[in-house]
Amino acid sequence: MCFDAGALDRTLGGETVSLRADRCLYWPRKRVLFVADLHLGKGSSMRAIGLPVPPGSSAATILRMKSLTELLQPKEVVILGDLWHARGSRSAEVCEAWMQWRTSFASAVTLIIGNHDRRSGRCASDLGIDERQEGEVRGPFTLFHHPPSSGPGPWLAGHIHPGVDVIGRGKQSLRLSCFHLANAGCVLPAFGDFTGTARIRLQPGEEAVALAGDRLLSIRPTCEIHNIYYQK
Amino acid sequence: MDAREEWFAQQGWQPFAFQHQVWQAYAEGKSGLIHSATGTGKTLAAWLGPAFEHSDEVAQDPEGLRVLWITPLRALASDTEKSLRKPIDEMGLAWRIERRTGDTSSSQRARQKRSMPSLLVTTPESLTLMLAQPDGADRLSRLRAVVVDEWHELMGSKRGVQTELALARLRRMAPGLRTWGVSATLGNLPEAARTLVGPGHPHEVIEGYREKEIVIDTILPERMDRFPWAGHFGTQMLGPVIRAIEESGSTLLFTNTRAMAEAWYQQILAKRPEWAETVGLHHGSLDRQERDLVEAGIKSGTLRAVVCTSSLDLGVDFSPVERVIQLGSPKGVARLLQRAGRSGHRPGQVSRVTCVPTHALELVDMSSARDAAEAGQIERRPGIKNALDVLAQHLVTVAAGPGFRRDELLAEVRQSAAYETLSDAQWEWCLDFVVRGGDSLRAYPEYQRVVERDGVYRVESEDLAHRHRMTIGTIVSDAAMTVRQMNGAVLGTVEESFLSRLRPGDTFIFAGKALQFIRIRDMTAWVKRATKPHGNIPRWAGGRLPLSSELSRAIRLSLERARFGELPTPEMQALASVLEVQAKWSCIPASDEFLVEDVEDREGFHLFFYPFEGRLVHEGLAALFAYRISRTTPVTFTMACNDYGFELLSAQPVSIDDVRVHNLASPENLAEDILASLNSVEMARRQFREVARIAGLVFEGYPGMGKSAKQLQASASLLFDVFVKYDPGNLLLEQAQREVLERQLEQSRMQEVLERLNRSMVVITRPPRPTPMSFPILVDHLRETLTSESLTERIARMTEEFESILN
Repeated sequence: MCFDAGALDRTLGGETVSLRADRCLYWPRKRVLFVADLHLGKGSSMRAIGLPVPPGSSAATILRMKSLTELLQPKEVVILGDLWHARGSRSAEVCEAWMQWRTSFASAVTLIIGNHDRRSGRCASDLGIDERQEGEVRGPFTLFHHPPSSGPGPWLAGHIHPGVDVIGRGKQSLRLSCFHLANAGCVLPAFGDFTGTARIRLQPGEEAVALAGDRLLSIRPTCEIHNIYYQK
Repeated sequence: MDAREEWFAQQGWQPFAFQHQVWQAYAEGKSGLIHSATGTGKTLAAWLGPAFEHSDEVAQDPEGLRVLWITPLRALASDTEKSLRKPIDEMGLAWRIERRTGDTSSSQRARQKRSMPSLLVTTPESLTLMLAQPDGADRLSRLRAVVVDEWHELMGSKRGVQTELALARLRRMAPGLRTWGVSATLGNLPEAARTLVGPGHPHEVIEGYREKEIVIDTILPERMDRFPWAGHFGTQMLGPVIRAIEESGSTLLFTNTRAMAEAWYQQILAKRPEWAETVGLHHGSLDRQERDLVEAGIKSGTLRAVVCTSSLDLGVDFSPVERVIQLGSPKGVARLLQRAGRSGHRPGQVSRVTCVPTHALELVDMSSARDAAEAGQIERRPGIKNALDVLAQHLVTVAAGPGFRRDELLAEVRQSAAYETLSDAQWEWCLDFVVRGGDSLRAYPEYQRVVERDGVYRVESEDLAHRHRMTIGTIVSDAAMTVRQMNGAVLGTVEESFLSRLRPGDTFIFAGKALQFIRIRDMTAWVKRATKPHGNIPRWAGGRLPLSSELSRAIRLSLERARFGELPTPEMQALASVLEVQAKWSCIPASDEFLVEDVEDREGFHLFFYPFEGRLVHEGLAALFAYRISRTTPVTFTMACNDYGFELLSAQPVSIDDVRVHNLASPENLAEDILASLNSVEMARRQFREVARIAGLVFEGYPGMGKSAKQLQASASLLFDVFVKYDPGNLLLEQAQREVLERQLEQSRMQEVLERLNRSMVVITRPPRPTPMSFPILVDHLRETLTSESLTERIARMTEEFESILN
């Protein structure tokens, strides 16, 4: 286990990519920014069926996107699926916030269509998104929403919302969202503010890079995950 | 002689004085509470009043519900219905008796909608559901009486609060309604009665038949020097328990946890394989059908013995049960008496409960429980106040039913003891919450659950009303998975957290069977019978009961007497050699002393503190003391605790003297220090699961719902984070934190405990090695880190070491 500041470099398919504590993967040579699972409008669609969930999480997610693109100035943003959460997610409030960012960002935005996007219906207005099916290619990377179970790498995907449990003092465990590096590919953490995590089990040779606040924490199955001493 | 007395005479009985008393009070139009041990004719006392008085009215006009009978368990409804029907049929009274629970078919419910029976047996949830129907009020307007059975089970829980709200509503729909409750004996009967009938309503508290004799005895280990100071499942007493089963007729064996029930069942059958057909297993995680079979076996007397948990604490007639055995500490006086009452379930018969210690110090619990029972020191069950999650659910329930006007409903809600002190601000917040989502300043966009039009609040969308009716209730189930055999048979449910740790091929013990885990698919764990007979036993959350305050106090007194050489009971005499070691190596504390043991060994530096206040309080105190020590000395502790005390273990020595202990036990700044000392956010996050579910934040879905519906689900812990970030002023967050302090940490009890400890004389001893009192805590601490098999070995080895020192 080791800590690192905001970013960790890894080599995938001969390319250096940067896993970042702000929940994205950046490919500096081509200046492409990858994110996954924003689930915008989740609150709206839940409120619409009478579940009292406070508003604000989608706007906050888009705002983080805005500061990321301002900081990194990428030539393209690729969203690895589940940009929208459900039918009814593109509420006026969410679309307005989205357009505010989109008009300020001049480069391309590509969406690899995910299972939630497919269920949230056709997009009525032009939100400045280039929609693509899974299997799209950028340099050596094949892009998916659902991580492929086999096949050649390197690939990038989302969908899982991977998380690892880190056990700390007083036997209190903490679930941290993470990057999951396995099978010559990488599953990205969910970028959205209103998303959960699913605990993954690391196999030998795999690595999880967990997001611990503004730092990253690399975990390999060789270290005893359940005895990690973690202190914030 | 009226028809009731004639009927009694036909049975060869005579009504008890208290039954006459209840009938008389009922005839005078009064409400009240009847309390006594089980099996003493309380049901007939409560039922024959209304049955007799309103039978002419029912005969003239059979339409309309006259009496509601509320039972806490739907599994009891059918037996209750039978026992209410019997005297009526035999007396030839005109009542039409039916039941309505979650198990009632929709055709039956539709029939009841057209024509209500004159007496309905139902559960709090089904009653609330009736209130959530638009025409519910019409069907309840002719109600004369409500009887709440086993009120002690509901009182002090959120189901009790739900029942209080329903009762307040019924009283307004049917003026002059008489409320009666049937309860086991509680330490706060006046409060229980007031909560039941509503504050300000005159009522009577009537004590039931009392002469029923209860014998509490203990099977003593044959050789105390070979008896462990701490055990795992404590099956060392297997031999004597099997002999006890052989000696008696039908026997119930109560354990404190489901895991312990599984272990004992397994051990008994291993020793007596020929009992496979005549010994049963019963606990709350087993499939309903299996439990029904076992219950039927008890009633018919075909089962010789049943190993069970509190799942059999309630229930109607188990008259063939001759003997009750309590395995392990009873943990509370009322619980022990309730369990004892399961045997000799007839007035005039002797109830007998035999306790079986699983390790040495439990003998003190048993002796003390008898002392407390004899002195009448029974646990209290305080009611819950101002639970906003239950209120929010109730507002939507009424809005989905006939609708409400705000001032009328506020007045009605304040008629219940649970909300008599509800502030205007809390009420406003709750109303805003169901109407707008956030408070008045922050309405949630797109959100509309309850809509106000012309001063009337209603749920307008039939879809929302339907979904709300499906989620009514305050029972929050654990994340459990169905366990199913490959041949299709459902065995019951086991917590997901246990199953997710299993690998295919692993074996575990469940439902009395050794099972091999195959895979998890569709929220079901598929298993087959294993060839090898052993494996891990699942542990269910919430399985560990803390010691009650009353029993704790009795234990401190027993120890004080032992310190001065007084061993008045067989249990305490059996313990003499162990107590002698405790006195020699350390000290047996008097009730005004606070014992601290300071022990150093290979593991590190142990501090053992003994407040004798039960596990929950000790968990809080351990965290509090550790926090207060670390404020002046930077040190990291590992904590462990049991019902007698707690341990702080550190890698470096911590100097301790009586001044310091007094400071640690200071009652000042308690709330602040608790919040700082524990990961209170994490605990509140867990508690939020219940609050969010009840307040309708979590959509749990329903069988067969499609994928697009699943997308609308979010876990409570995720919602907790969203609320903390985007609506931190939400009162439901505050409620979750309050429930952590009050219910999980028992803050008010901690305050009392600290005040007592602060007045006590501190006694610090430095024993050469762990003492009989600290040993069980050490084992508990090992339990967290070792698997069950290596734990058993480790305990055996440690026990041997101690024996060699003693001999």
